[in-house]
Amino acid sequence: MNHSAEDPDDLVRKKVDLNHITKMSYQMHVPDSITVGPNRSAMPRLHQDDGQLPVRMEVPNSIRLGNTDTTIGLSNGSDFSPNNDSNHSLDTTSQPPMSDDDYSPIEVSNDQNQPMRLAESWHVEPATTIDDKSVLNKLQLLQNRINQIERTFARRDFRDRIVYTCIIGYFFLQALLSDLTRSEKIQHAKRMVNENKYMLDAWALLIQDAQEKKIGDSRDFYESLITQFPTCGKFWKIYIESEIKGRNYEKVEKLFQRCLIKVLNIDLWKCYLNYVRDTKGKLPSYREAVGSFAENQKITAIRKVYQKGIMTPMTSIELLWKDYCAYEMSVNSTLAKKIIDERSRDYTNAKRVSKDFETLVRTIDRNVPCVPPTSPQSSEELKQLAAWRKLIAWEKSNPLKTEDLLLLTRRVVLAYEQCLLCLGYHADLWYEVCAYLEQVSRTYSERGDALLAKRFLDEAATLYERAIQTYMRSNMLIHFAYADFEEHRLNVDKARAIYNRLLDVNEANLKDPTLAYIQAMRFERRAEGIKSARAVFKRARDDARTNHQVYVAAALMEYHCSKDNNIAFNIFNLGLKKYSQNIDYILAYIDYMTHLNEDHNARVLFERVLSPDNPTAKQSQPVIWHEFLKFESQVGDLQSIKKVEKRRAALHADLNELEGQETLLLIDRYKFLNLLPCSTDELKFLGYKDTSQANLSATNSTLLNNGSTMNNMRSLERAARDRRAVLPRPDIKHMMPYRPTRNPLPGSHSTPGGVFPLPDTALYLVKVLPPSRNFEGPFVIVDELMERMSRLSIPDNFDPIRIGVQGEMIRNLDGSNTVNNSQSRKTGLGDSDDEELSSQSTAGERSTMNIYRLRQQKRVKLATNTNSSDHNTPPVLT
Amino acid sequence: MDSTVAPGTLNIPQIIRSETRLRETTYRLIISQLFYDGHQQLAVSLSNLLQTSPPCPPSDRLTHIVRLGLKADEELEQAQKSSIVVAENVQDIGLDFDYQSDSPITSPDAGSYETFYVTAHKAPCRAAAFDATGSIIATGSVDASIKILDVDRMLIKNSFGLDYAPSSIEPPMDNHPVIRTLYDHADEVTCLDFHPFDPILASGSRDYTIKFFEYAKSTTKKSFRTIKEVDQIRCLSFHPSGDWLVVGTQHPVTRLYDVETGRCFVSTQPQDQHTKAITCVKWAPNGKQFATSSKDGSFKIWDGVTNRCINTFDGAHNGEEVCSVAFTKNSKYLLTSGKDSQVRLWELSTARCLIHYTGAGTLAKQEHRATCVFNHTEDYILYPDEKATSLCCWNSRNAERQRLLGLGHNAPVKCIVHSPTAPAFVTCSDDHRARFWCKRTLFGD
Repeated sequence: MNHSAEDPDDLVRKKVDLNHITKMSYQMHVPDSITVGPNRSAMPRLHQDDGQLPVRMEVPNSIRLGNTDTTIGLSNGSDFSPNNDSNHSLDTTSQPPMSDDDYSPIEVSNDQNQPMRLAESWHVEPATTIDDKSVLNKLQLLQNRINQIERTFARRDFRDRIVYTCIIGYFFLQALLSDLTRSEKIQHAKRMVNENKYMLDAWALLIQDAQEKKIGDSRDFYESLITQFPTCGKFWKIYIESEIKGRNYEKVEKLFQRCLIKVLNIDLWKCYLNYVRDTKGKLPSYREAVGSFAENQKITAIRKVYQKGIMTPMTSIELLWKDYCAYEMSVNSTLAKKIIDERSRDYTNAKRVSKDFETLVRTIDRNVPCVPPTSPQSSEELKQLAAWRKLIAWEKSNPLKTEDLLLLTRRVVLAYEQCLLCLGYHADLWYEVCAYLEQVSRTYSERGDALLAKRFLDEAATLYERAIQTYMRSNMLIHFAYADFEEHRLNVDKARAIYNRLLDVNEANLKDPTLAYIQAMRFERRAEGIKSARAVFKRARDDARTNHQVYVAAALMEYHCSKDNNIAFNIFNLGLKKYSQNIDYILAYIDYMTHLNEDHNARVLFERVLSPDNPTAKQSQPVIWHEFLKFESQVGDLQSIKKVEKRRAALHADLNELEGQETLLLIDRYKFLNLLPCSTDELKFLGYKDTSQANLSATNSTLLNNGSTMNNMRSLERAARDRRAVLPRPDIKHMMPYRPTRNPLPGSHSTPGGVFPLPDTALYLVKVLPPSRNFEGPFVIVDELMERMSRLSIPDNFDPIRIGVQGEMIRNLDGSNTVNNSQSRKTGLGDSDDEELSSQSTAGERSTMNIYRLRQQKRVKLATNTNSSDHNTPPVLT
Repeated sequence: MDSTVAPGTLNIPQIIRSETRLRETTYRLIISQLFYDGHQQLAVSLSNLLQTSPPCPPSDRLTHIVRLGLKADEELEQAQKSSIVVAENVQDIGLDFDYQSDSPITSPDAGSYETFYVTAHKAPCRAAAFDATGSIIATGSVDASIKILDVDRMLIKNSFGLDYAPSSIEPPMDNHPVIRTLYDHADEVTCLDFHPFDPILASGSRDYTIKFFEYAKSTTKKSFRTIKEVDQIRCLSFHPSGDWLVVGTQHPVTRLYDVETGRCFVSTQPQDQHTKAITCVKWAPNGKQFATSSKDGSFKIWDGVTNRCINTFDGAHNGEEVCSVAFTKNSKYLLTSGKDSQVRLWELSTARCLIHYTGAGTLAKQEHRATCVFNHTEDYILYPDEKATSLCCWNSRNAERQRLLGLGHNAPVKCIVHSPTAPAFVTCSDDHRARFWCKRTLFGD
């Protein structure tokens, strides 16, 4: 136990009897493959649970285990040779036992380069199930090994034994504990799954665990898995495969019945075909019939499948085509050519399309289980969504260029359905496919094909049905869309059933069915009239989950539809009893009242709401006062306005707000809609803030923000750039500038192989200078120049002096002059025109460029002297 | 207890020493606890083994500490729980021994990769690079050319099989995987690196220049910017911001270039530098450090802000030349390969070698350099074996050796790069060819 600093903690936690372990370890001896380096601390965090392998590590020898004068006599060569790389895992039984001479005691190993090798760990079941068969097997194995090496150790002294015993015990413990942590992990995963049903990582762990268990034990888990992810083909397949492994063929068939039609997953179907072939192939009813008639039938059937295949764009369609050609040739070589020719057009078409198909499908992962969209969306999710959308758009664009609308529709719907297997929580996709089907149906009905039109409508209905039965169970949007769809088809009963189902949902997700009630009411009014709408309202009132909005909706419906003020009043009053605290409700009521032009009643309402009897929260009262003031300024006389204002001010005084700022209240009196009696700056100065509008815009902006995060891929890119901002960056203040140079003078830079670069401005100058080899004189007498410079007096009214080609001074710099200037220079020296222009443009650095200028002048002079003879004015040197 | 310091850890004995004390104390506590609990024999043997002095008295202290520790641990877990549930993505951790990776390895080992595409240069191919999204590859060759290849097109091309009908109607160039060939260098292209997010490729060459190409433009033939050096460029690496470039040349001084201005900087301390040519340089993904390896047998860790060397690992590969360095995604660990045909994983926080990956180069002594890389999930380590021209693959956590993969090259493979995002890599060989390898799972067959 001397090798692990952490083990004792684990022991305490697991309540494993230390005595027991020690005793056990005493009975054991060492397999000769275990050689232990200096200590365990060298690899404290190495994973112990992935099937242990020889790990070679270098140990930083920080802790010694023994004296230094002897080294362990094990070869530290490589554990594997290229010839037998399959045999690399350290199998103790197959390794020849070491001779006694090779062996020296472990405690003395201190060679720092001595590798440490761990033997494979024995995967032992948790201690609670220690009587498990597999554990006994492993123990037996261990015992065998021990016996095998017993003889080797027979002559060893007792001290070694203790050490080895410790080591054995340590490894045994490791094995035991690694398994304990494993079962702990499973438990943890189970907890996680209970907390969040969409933790895919946790599910993966559980699935792995279940696959190792017997099917009988894990069937419950599998059932919960497929109820959670009913459209994930991979999970179905895993379940079915475990059942097949357990030879429960009845169960397998039942499972296939449950999933095959619903889940159009290739792997799952492949699994099914394999299953049928393996199990049913020998049954008489599946045997091939014999006889010429049967033979012909078979040929026709196979041909049909082939022909369907080569018309469908898919991967490796070329191979299929080749197969098909070969097949036709084998059936009837004379007819084959004709048949193949007939089909080749379809094939080339399909091949063309399958290329695009490839590209589109490649990024799509069809085995992603459905999880609700997370916010913010993960990049992987966005990628999948974008890929599916691309595929669907492509299918809609009719890539096959087929005239057959039926085929096109089928392909589009198939794409949607496949997509929904993975992205079932995206309501927009469900709605889109149904809308698409509706549109197709309309096309058919325009063509006069009532039968097909109805068929597609039915299909849309089935899809809606599937949506609300699975992932959209608590999504109101899809329910409403479905109900509207059915209502449109005049299936009033069906629509009603949909609403009822939505309202009956007892799931926690639909906590607030108010909106559903309101929509149901509206639907009933449309379908049956106001009477049945009232029935829905009654039901809503009885439902404890509903909110005040249903009262408002009902009252307004009465007012607008049945034009009955009284009923609306009654409803509002009824609601006021229940929601006398609810500011939104009160405002809605007030709004209604003011619009009725019943000034008196409205005032009564205001007074009632604001009366001290009504226990409205003080904080919410200003809003009502605000409304009251608005109302009075609209309809009341000045007296009543002032009265209301005064009372409002009193309230604010109560709340310790707006102290001594009556002007602000005055502003409220005069404003209308978004027109205010002061400019915005004045308002800001006054400290005026419009509470109601601020709230509104706040909610709007949150919505907008959320919307913008949906705008997906671009935000990812932005994230990459944002990351750039937080990265640590090199700071040149801490470094030395350096110019790598060949053969620099010694000492020109503290770091060899380079020199200090010129300062930036000088570097620029050097860059714009023409190469020195272009300079052929005349040469300045430096001493004289310096002297002249020293005597130079720079005038205060400094005016940049420019010198023209011939040396004349150009004082007023206008555009045409510059052009002439540069052009004429160009003719003078054609090799460095770029530098010329840039020097022209940087007039600010003129003072630094005197030398350059001087040189230029000389060059020009030289050029003009040699080339032409018209102007020989000497350059003016300043 | 004294401590002789292992090679490569000379520079920070400080950490080692405190670590040592910690261990020593732990063992003392264990022995005391064993005495206290009555396991006399065990305690005596352990203390003999460890030569503890002074002798440990029986004590229950360890239990107390464990209790406190467990309690603190639990509280910490409770506090972190919510954040973990939301944020933790096991895939993103990569190789990190601080976390027990629960998830089984999902990425494929090297043995299951297949060649998807082969492109041939006119001379040995020596350099390759993936861009950050894993969708573009560049290969460089002794023939001074650079090829830019599109990963998607290679995959599509392959899926159509080798017997791709030549009489097909579509124009073949339309889908050709090699989207650009850049001839702008005058000598061997020795190294390539992509800008972290802009479509820019940097290349270094033996013609003493570093060139930048805007490969996204279809008209690009020449570089749009050149940095002139005075020695053969051997390696270069972009800062994660893409604004800086660290360059290693035949000359031992490590240069840091400002990409925008082309200005060059070095460490203020001359003794920071290597003593022989620099073989590989890599910037850590977090930008805080970069690593260089050299022919002088050492590799160095440099501070990314001050450009100072913060640690030198002398004789990291038994004195042999260190050929390549590679950071993990979390920048905590460094993988090195050397001419002793060994691959080692170093923990940077403690400056020590964690794992040896051995077994390569058993046929004969390695003569040329070879690079080692992680796969995209950092579950495996890939390293080409020179003599066998096969690819060694290890489990990165426990050094378990995986199946060998025959690379099918006729000459040593000097360069291998793995895609950062997908199970795909490129091998470059002196037989003039670059092979693109991929795991065939992307297609449903």
